[in-house]
Amino acid sequence: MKVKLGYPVLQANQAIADRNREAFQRHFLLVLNLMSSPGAGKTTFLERWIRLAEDRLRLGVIEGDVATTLDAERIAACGTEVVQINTHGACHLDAGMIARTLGHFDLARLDCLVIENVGNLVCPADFDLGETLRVTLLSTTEGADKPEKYPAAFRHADAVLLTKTDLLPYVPFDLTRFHGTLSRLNPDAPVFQICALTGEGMEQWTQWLLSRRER
Amino acid sequence: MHEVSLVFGIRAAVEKAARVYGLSRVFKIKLVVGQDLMVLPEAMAFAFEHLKRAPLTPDAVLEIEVRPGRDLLVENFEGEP
Ligand SMILES: Nc1nc2c(ncn2[C@@H]2O[C@H](COP(=O)(O)OP(=O)(O)OP(=O)(O)O)[C@@H](O)[C@H]2O)c(=O)[nH]1
Ligand SMILES: [Mg+2]
Repeated sequence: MKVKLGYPVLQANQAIADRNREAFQRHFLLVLNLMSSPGAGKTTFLERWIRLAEDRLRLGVIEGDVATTLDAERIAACGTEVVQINTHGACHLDAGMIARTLGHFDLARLDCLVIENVGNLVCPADFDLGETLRVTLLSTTEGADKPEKYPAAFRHADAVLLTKTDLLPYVPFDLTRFHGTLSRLNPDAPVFQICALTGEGMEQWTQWLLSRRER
Repeated sequence: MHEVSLVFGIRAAVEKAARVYGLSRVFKIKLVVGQDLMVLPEAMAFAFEHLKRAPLTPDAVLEIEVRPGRDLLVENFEGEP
């Protein structure tokens, strides 16, 4: 006997993501899902950006890592409310993990919740968390070919941050190729060149984000 | 890399439907995997082999069709009472 099912496997995650998104919208909360390979500079970017943005946006952070609370400790040291999720081996955050942490925040008192996903350029792209914007980071040391090799993370991003631009003089990173690939894969996403050490690009990024909030 | 958790979801859905249809032996599951998803058919098949349990028979097969798009569907399954 053959049974026609048509069961959408990712729907379980999608249903929870939709509920998260409704909760975020009820509180006029801008939620970012930061994705990159391990070490691209997500946490360092946040540490620097919090300093710049905290008098304009009330921020909260969710840190996703396979193990340790190291990243949450770094964010807590900035004086920002933060919750650490440990996935114990899983390569991505899912919507249920986010839903379970939301009770730790007073959403009504936040303007922007930043979710730092598990460092992985592949798996997180498939899992909607309910975020408002997907932000993919790539560091200059990873090579300009990465958007071609890991297209999903870039194709569905709302913005792309090229990090560690202070290293551009020292690494052979082909900016023309990088921008060319992105304008083919995802012509609508703005690309910001960011340095977490000098703060380069942070103001442009913040302005863009604030403009998205007003929509 | 998240194929294992996906196979858990697939198995749970098929188990439930098999119960509804009164099928105690399931020997084939047909899956549609969207090309744009970061899902590897080989890893899916590997996870399936390791997570098989009743009502799936020990030699049950997972047939995977890759299609354009981002769908991940259990299209159908075959079994007997
Ligand atoms: N030169 C330079 N180094 C940076 C910059 N941003 C981050 N780094 C360094 O890159 C390394 C990794 O940075 P993290 O911020 O921990 O990276 P991450 O993406 O949060 O890493 P995971 O959470 O493990 O995925 C650290 O040694 C940082 O000091 C930058 O703008 N310039
Ligand atoms: Mg980090």
